[in-house]
Amino acid sequence: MNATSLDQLLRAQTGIWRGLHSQNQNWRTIASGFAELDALLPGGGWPLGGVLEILSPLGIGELSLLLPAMASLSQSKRWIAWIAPPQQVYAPALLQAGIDASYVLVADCRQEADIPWSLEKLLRSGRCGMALAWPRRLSDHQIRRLQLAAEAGSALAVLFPKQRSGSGYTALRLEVRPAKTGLALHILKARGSLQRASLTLAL
Amino acid sequence: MAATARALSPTPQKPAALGVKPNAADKQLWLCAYFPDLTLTALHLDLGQAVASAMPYKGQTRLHTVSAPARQAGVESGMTPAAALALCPGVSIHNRDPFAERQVLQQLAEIALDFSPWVSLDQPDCLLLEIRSCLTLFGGIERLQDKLRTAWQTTRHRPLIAISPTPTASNLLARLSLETTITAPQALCSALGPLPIAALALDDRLLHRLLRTGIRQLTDLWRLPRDGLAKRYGAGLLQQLDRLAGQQTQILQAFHSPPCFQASREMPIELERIEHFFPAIEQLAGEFAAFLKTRDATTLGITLELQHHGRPATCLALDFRAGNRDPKHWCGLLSEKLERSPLPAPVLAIGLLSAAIVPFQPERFSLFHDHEKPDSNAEWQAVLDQLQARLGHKALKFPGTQADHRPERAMIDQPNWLTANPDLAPRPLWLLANPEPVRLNGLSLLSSAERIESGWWDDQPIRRDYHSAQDQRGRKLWVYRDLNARHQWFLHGLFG
Repeated sequence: MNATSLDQLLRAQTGIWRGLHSQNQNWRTIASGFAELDALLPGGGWPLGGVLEILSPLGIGELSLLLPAMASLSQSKRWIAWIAPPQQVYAPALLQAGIDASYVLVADCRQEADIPWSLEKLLRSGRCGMALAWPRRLSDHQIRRLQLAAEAGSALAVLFPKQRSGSGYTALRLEVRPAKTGLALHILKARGSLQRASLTLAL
Repeated sequence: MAATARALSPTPQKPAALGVKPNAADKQLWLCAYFPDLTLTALHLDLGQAVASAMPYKGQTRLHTVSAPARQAGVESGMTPAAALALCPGVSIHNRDPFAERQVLQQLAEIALDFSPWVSLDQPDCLLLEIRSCLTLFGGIERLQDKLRTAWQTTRHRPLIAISPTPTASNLLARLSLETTITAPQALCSALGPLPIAALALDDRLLHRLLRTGIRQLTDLWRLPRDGLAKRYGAGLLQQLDRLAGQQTQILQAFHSPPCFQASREMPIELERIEHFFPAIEQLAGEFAAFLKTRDATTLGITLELQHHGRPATCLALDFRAGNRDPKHWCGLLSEKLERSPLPAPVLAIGLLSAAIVPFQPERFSLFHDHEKPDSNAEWQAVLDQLQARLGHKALKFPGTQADHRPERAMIDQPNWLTANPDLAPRPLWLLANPEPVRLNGLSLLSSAERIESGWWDDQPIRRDYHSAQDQRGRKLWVYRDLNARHQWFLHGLFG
């Protein structure tokens, strides 16, 4: 039995965890649009069907990490939902990023409790490709619910929590800091990989 | 046998006791109710005061209707507002609101539907009722007219009523404030004869040509040979005359009051728990869905009324983004609303009403069903309905762009998308609703100035130099220097 067929055999067994080798994941991903980042992410991109948590101050360029994925999702006719954004989402900038903005939805939530509820409804619908939210803080079980909803709708939930939470249920957690030549990224947690990587992206 | 045949004949004999002798029973009789002050009363103006309505006419604002006190001061329709104010300084002038006028007419037409099945809104500012068919029921023209006036008494709108065998003639008479009744078609021409030709809807040039040839009254026109009249003055004039005299049949559109649904259920006892009275709501929803289905219609919104003892009823309103007739969807939304809003008191009765009923539009499928799932759009609309029901009516926004150089005006809340301008400098993802004053020290400017100077034609001109900048915390900012406000710097956006 040569190495490739062994590899195929192992890959067919979803119950076997293969440590650092991230090929054993079976969820869909979408390319982030940054080759260096894709190389570090399990499956080669953002997980479609998972919660992505980004810890970052507002306005340093954290959204530009997501713009290429938003553009390709919207062009495949999946909606991009912005839930309770901290400022006005400026449509001309979305247009410049190549997003087919007839698939952009902004929802204002007056109450904090409406945010996870709206996220879950949108993620589960299957028509929504990415839902972004800025909650103050979400509890573990809320993140778990969002994770399940995202899996059901094979959508990407992106959370920008104002307070750090230690939930084990997120598929991916990133910390983003401004750097001299762009953005410094730390992958704090990635489902399907034990790697903790850092890189600097020039934007 | 002959007696039975007469009793069953479709045109029953009119009782001879009626004051007006009805002529040929197969002809129509039209009542025109003209509302001379409609433009004022539709704006809820007090006719006892000096008020006037104005509308644009040939690029100028001209008065349209004038109330009696203003008329006494010398103000007339057709004047400019400045002239009116010079004559009567206290006159208050308001712009016409055609939408409100139309709504008032529809309200009045609904009342008129109690008197005649054929009510028409085809002519401006007036209602036309065919009354020949219902004279017997109301006991003659006089009584019908009185009852109609009484029914309209509750509204603030006073009509001028004229009756004649043709709708055009009734309209003409009412507009000239001649409240006459002409029942016989033969009497029509002689009754209309002395009227001035200016009353016809003719354009000014044609009117002047006719007046120059010495034609003053309608009789003068009727005396002329038809072919020559048509040759000289066009077929339009002849057509108007024929309509007046009833020689040309005119079919008016009938007004139908918009459909609405209303049903209710009394509870056997006062119920507090949702699961106890919710089955009644489901029944009502099912009834409404069946109502819609038989009419091939959908609804844009429903209202649920929960009656309590000795308290005002609780109303829950749902608005749908698209026409909907799925009772399960309504019940889902309603139960969610009910669970989230505690009821002030036990429920005595439940009512379901809806006035927003629109024709059903089937979803369009592509012929080959290539990409989209057949029901995906309806499902998505249902999700949006759920969000809207919980978050509020205006919570969902679909941002769009419009062609304007001013950054705050380049974005609108309607899904209207232009193509991106490739020459435009990068725009920030976050735009601050109100620009914040900012100090320049500590910021490093990353780009040269982009001058935006626009909007001198409306009241919000701007003159700004935009830069992208970075602050000490590493945030990328979009700042501008306001050249109109002593070169002060403002923060307008964040590059997210």
